[in-house]
Amino acid sequence: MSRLLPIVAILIALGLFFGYINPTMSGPIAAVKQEIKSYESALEAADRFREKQQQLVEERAKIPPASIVLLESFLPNGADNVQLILDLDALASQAGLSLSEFTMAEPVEQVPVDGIVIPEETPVGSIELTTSGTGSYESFRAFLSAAESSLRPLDLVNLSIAANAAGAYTYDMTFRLYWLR
Amino acid sequence: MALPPTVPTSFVPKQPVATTRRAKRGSGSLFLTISLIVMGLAVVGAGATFAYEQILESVRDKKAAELAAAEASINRETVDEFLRLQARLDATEKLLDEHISLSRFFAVLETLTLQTVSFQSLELSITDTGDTKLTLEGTAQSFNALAAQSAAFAAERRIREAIFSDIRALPTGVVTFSLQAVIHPSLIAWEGTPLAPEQVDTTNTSLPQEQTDTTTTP
Repeated sequence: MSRLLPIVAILIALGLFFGYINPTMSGPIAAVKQEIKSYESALEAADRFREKQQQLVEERAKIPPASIVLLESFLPNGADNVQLILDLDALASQAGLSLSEFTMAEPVEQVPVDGIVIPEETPVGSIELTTSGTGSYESFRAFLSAAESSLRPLDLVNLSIAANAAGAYTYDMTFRLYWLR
Repeated sequence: MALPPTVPTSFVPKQPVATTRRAKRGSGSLFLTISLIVMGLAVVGAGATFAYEQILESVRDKKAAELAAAEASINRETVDEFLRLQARLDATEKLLDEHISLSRFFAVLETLTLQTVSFQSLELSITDTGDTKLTLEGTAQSFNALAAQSAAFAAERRIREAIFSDIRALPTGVVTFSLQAVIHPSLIAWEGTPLAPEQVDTTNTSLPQEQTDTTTTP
């Protein structure tokens, strides 16, 4: 009996080590350690995020509200093309130009090469507004200058000028307007 | 000289042979002691492992709770607002860089056009690649006037590839022609600034009109 006791003790020790200690250390404990490491990494990122957010809040507070309004007018959240047509018409009237026939169209998409379609990633949407006007060249120049300097960017991408029988000019114009998607 | 085996080598009496049993009892006791120590260490190690696992799980749960609290403290609306503001600023800068101003082109065209030449029609188209194609139809009082007009266009480097075609001399001496050219992007690039907020009548229109100098028809 006294000779068996050491052997039993050794077997118990081996059993504890290989049956519990080693598997636990390399299994559940290692996994929990990994989880803790990932949580600590995420918490560090959260701290950095909070610092950056605070910094941005302070920077944002430095921008005058009027500038923000101006910026949102420059690039609105939607096309708002009806109001734009009204404004353009009013602008043309002030310049002495008579506008008519407003039509809206999506910009012509580029033809995909070999069937590969490049995804649209730009946050800016655009649409083309075509209109016709009649009036003197001076009126057209005044209208064009005002439209180019407007708060909302309007790019005149197509223009056709033709003299009509009445001695005035007819202007077919295609403006491209933009908004933030 | 070798001694015979019967002759004693020493006068000291030999010890009785009785140490064998003592040695066996001592080694067994040592082995038992070591084995018990090993087993004890294993038991303590197992207990420590169990406790360590519990502590780690507790730390993990605490970190998870801290992370959840940190996530909850993030204001999604604020983040979205910042992202949108950033996108708006970037897009605005790009749009300003690429803004088109045909007024500059017309100002140059008015300067280049001779008194003896007039244009009846104009076609201008800006492609997505940035090329601006220009087609003009007009009349010149004479061939000399047309030649002088051609030289004037040639001197303006921002109007490229100017080609006069469809040239016809009428019985009156007037020459009709058409002109095709490519306009350099710098000639239609906008270099101004939008109107200041105080100049904007927001109650009336979003397209404020600025003071402009009218020019004569080319």
